[in-house]
Parts: sequence; structure tokens; C-alpha cells
Amino acid sequence: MWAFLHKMASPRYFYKIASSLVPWFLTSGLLLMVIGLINGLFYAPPDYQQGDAFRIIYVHVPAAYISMMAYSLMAFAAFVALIWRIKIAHAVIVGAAPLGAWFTFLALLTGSIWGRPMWGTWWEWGDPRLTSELLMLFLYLGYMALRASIPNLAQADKLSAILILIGAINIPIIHFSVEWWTSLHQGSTLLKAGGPAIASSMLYPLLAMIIGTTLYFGSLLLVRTKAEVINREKHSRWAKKMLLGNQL
Amino acid sequence: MIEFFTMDYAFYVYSSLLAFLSVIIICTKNAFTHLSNTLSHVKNTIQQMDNDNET
Repeated sequence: MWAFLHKMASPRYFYKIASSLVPWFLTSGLLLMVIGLINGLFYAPPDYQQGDAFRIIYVHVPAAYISMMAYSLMAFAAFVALIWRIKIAHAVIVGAAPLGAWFTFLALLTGSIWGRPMWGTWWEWGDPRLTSELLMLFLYLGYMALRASIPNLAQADKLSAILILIGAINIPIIHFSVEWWTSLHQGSTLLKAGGPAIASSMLYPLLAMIIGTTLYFGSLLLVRTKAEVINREKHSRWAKKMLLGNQL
Repeated sequence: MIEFFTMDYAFYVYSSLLAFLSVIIICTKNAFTHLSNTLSHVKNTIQQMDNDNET
């Protein structure tokens, strides 16, 4: 395992492995999402309280999960990059940020659409889950703005990684906000003591969606990280050889 | 199986689905376009550097 991780820290090896993994991750992710959506939207039974409105869970939960997972991954990569100075870690952060921002926006949008029929409002400023999730969107956007504003790559890497680490305090706040404070948002359904509080006919399509969206996110993360790696390695011999091939 | 149009709260469910599919399409297109543009840009930069070195 450590040998593999050590190898993955090499830009050249990472680029090669990522190129071969992308089609597998993308195809299996999209396939699982199609299976999850069809089963969740049309075959799972309606909820006894929320009726068919509960089906929004099949797009809202995967989006919210990815938004938090992407930020956690960025925070881990920022820690690794600052402590061990591994170049790939900075490329992973750059690759994950726009995807995380899009999925956070999606989680907020689908949550708002779900909130209108269930809570009677599109948005509630006093709700801790909603506002902490919105804060995370601002952290993603702030990270990208900070990077774009610093022309020196090494300085941009360092300062933006520090921002990511400071913002990581928001992750447990989002997760536990429904337990720590009074919230309109329902409590955790899957990660609950005593097992998931959801019938298996509703659970399996949700798991398919979560795993499928994760694989899909992984594929696009590899694509974006590849772009960042090749841009950073443009002066290296392997990048020249790969891009120009026989011309060298 | 649930009927497609007679589902309760159909507007909200399908609006969410549309938002999800839109983000999936945008993210996929952006990621691959970004990689393609970067490869093209880096290739041009390398060729330019090689030409400068030769002259």
C-alpha cells in the first residue's frame, strides 16, 4: 500500500495510472447513477410522511456527500502538501475545488427545492445546516479566487492550502449541526447508531447513487488533476516526450 | 412502478433531477475541455521553447 502511494506521488506515474483509471471510473459511475435514479424515482415506494417528495433524496444526498467528501479530501491533500511537500497533493486540491463547488451548489439548490414543499420555505437563514453548507460554497469559491489572485505558483500553493486547512473546521460543524442545534433539516438517515433508518427498498437505490456519484467524481478529479500535473510538469522530459512523441 | 407525470410533488422532484443532470453535464464537459485545452497549451509552450532554443 505504502509502495503504491509512494509511486503515485510521482507525477509521471500518476498521469499514467490516472489515464487508465478514468474510463473505468466514469463508465461504472454513470451506470450506477442510472440504476440508482431509475430505481429511486420510479420503483422505490413513497415515504409515509413526505410522499413522493422524498425522492429528491436520490440527488440531494449524493450531492451533499460529494460536497463534504471533496472538501475533506482537499483538507487531507493540503495537510500532506504542507508537511511532506508532495507536488501531486497541490494538483489534487486544484482539481477537486471546482467539482466540490459545483456539488455544493447542487446540494444547496436541491435542498432548497426539497425545503419548499416540506418546510414551506425555500431558505431559512437561521438554520445551522443550511448556513454552514453555504459557508462551504464560499470556502470553495474563496479558495479558487485566492489561487487566481497570486501569480507565484509556490506562494499560491502554500497560502491556499492554509486557507483549506482553516476552512476544514466547517466539516464537523456541517455534519453535527443537526444534532448540536435546533434545525429544520432532518437528522442523519444513513450514519445513525443502530443502522440506517430507511427501508432497504429505498436504501439500495440511494447507495447505488452515492457510490456511482463518488466514482463519477473520482473520474473527473483524475481528469482535472491530470491537466494540473501536465501544466506543472511542462518542463520535464517525460511530459515533452509524451506530448511531442516522435518529434523529440 | 410510479407513474411519470402523476407523481406527487412531480414539479419539485423533476426540478431536482434536472438540476442534478445539468451539473453532471456541465462538470463532465468542463473537465474534459479543460484537459484538452491544457494539453494543447502545454504542447504549444514546449514547441515554442524548443524553437527558441534552436534559434
